[in-house]
Amino acid sequence: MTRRISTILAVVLVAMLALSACITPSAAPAAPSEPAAAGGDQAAAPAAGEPIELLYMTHNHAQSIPINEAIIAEFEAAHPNVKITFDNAPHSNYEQKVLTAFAGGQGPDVFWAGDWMMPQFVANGIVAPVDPTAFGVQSQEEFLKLFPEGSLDAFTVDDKVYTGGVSEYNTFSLIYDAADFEAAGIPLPSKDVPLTWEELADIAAKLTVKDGDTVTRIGMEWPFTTPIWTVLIQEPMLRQLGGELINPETGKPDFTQEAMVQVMTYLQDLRAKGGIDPGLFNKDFLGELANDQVSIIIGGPWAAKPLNDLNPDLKWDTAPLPQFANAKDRVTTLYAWAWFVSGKSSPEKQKAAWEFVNLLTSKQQEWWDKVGYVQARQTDINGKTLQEYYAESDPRLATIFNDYQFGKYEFRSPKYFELSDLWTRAQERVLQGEDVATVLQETQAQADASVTD
Amino acid sequence: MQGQMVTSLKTKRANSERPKLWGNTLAARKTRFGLLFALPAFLFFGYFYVYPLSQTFYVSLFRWGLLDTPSFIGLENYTRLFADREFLNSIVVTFFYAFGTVIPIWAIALGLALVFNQAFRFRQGYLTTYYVPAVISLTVWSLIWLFLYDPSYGLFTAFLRLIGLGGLRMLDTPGMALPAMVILSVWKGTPVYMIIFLAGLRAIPTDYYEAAKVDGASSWQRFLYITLPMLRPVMLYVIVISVIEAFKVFTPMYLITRGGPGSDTRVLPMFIFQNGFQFLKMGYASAASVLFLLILLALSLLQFRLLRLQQD
Repeated sequence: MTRRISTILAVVLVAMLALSACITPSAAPAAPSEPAAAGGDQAAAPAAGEPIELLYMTHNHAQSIPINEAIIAEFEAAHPNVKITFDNAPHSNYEQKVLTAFAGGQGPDVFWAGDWMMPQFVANGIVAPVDPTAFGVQSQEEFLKLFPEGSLDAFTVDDKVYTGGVSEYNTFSLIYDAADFEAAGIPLPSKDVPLTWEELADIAAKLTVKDGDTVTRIGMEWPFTTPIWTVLIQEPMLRQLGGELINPETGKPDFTQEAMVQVMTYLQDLRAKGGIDPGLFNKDFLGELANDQVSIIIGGPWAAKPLNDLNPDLKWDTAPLPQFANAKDRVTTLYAWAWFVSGKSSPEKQKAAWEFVNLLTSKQQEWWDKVGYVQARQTDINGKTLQEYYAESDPRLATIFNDYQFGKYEFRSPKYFELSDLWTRAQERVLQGEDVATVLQETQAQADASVTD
Repeated sequence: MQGQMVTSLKTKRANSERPKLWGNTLAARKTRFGLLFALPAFLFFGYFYVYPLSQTFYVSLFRWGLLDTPSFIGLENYTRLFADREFLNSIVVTFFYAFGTVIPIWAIALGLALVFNQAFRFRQGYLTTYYVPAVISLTVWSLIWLFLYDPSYGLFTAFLRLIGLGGLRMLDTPGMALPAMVILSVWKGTPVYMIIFLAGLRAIPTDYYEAAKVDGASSWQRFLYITLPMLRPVMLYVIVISVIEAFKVFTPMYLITRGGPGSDTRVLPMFIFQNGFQFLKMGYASAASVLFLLILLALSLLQFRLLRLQQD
């Protein structure tokens, strides 16, 4: 009896193994989804006028959800045959969700993504080139005129634009609690001339407050563990010193360059002086600034609305992103999230999706008023340009808007996530006091192994 | 006495009528009926365990970036893994974490079970209180400890100050992040195994202890010659399960340290997750998963072997 049962169990297992060899899901290697040349084949193309179902995916920034839902309702009312399913995921694993959805053949038809995803998207046919007719123009050249010059460069590959518009267009500047500066007797930073990073280190150290052994307020919050933020903040620092993570001549990452050594040494000094502290707070930097646990953060225009909501009495203000005393160029950061349409969706879905994106990008005032997202698509609001309208809504933001002109997008690499992770771990080790040169040499070895894969 | 029981069971089993699977007898029909009930479980196990497992091995033979066209590379992912310092580091970290966690858990859980096996006032109340960490979700537990370890306001930091270790910061002092993860895991894991040990202790007939007492055996002798041998099956279960669970750790590292500082707490499951879903190296991550499975299998077999030898 036992032998027979064992035999049956073995047969079931072998049958399952055989089944696994025969059936291959769309995501498995035996049947990879081919990049769509034109259109795609993820779903059968419905005939004209037939119901169309779109999946729209975004990250879950709280303020953005109601406006997304309102625009979906408006679009569905105007297009009764289109049904849009809205899905959103936490910021921290949003990109993984989008990528695994595409790998599993369940990718969204319309979605947000950051500019750093472009190399992977384009190489794998994930994103479709823009359909200008959905925006009321006939050509890509006319479509580009709807946006400030250069604002869609990060989404253009081989002269093809792959987005219908930028959902949030960002740079980073300093945002600080002016009351803390006044209490510490530190003059408020200039709005026109950036502080040097060296000056900032001294200021941050003075703003740190201790009660015995307990730090009750840290001078400056620093993004210690999020790889994308490591790039967004350290890459401008590197570029100010004339460096580039990806060596333009070799096309390979260079972690041992002199500029990188200087940046990492600076961070080590910044911690040693007490201006930053990886172990302290670092859980909700806007909340910590609003609650007087932190005096300075690095942030974009999107920070204004949450800060006002969190603490209406907070005397926050802005200063340009600091530059090194020996900087060769004034450089800040530039990054954007944009609306994409899936290159894997059927032509009919793509057409409906681009019309939906046209509606999404034409709500510039709502995106700013309700979410604090800077849009790139040009418009007039009550006779004012978008930039004038933004500046008027809160004069403190003028400093941040001025930093855009010095911004550069992050490095482009299919290994973006791996390299940014290596960079972050190198930063962690340096902040623990490890020797900068040793850490960077080991990081370089790992980066070399990564890019040769 | 135990040997006699085993012999008796074996004889009983040998003498019992063996039901047939085929034929039209009642026994055969019952057996088939039983197997029919078990069939959904077989199918579930096959589709959700055996099938993914075979797929993982299959994928490990490819270079595959999740979105691109996979290319067959044979065992190259495996050879690269053995030269990858991050992978080797993650194995070392995982072993340190796993054994650093399970050994204290076994000792503390057994000690507590022995305590709770005694009759004393408010025993059930204490037992419930000690069991609380087990019912808290690991995510919540990790976030609680993130605050406990806060170098300014954390309760654990305050305790360290109290014992004169005020300068010791668990999450960012070099070499301390892994012990920090061990401490929170021991605290979380102990109650579950305490209950299992307690169930094992309660199953030991009291006659044995009474007879031993009459023969003049001390408490230590009773523990050594009655409790431990009788608990052996339970201990085997606890050892195997706790080691496997410890090796599978992911949540606290993901939520508290993200594998850092540097790679100090980058355990193997985290290495696999990052390579698969963050760096999109699915073939490489699959190869690491296969090796991980082999490590766990080897450990489990070793544990079974050691305990069988001990029993013999």
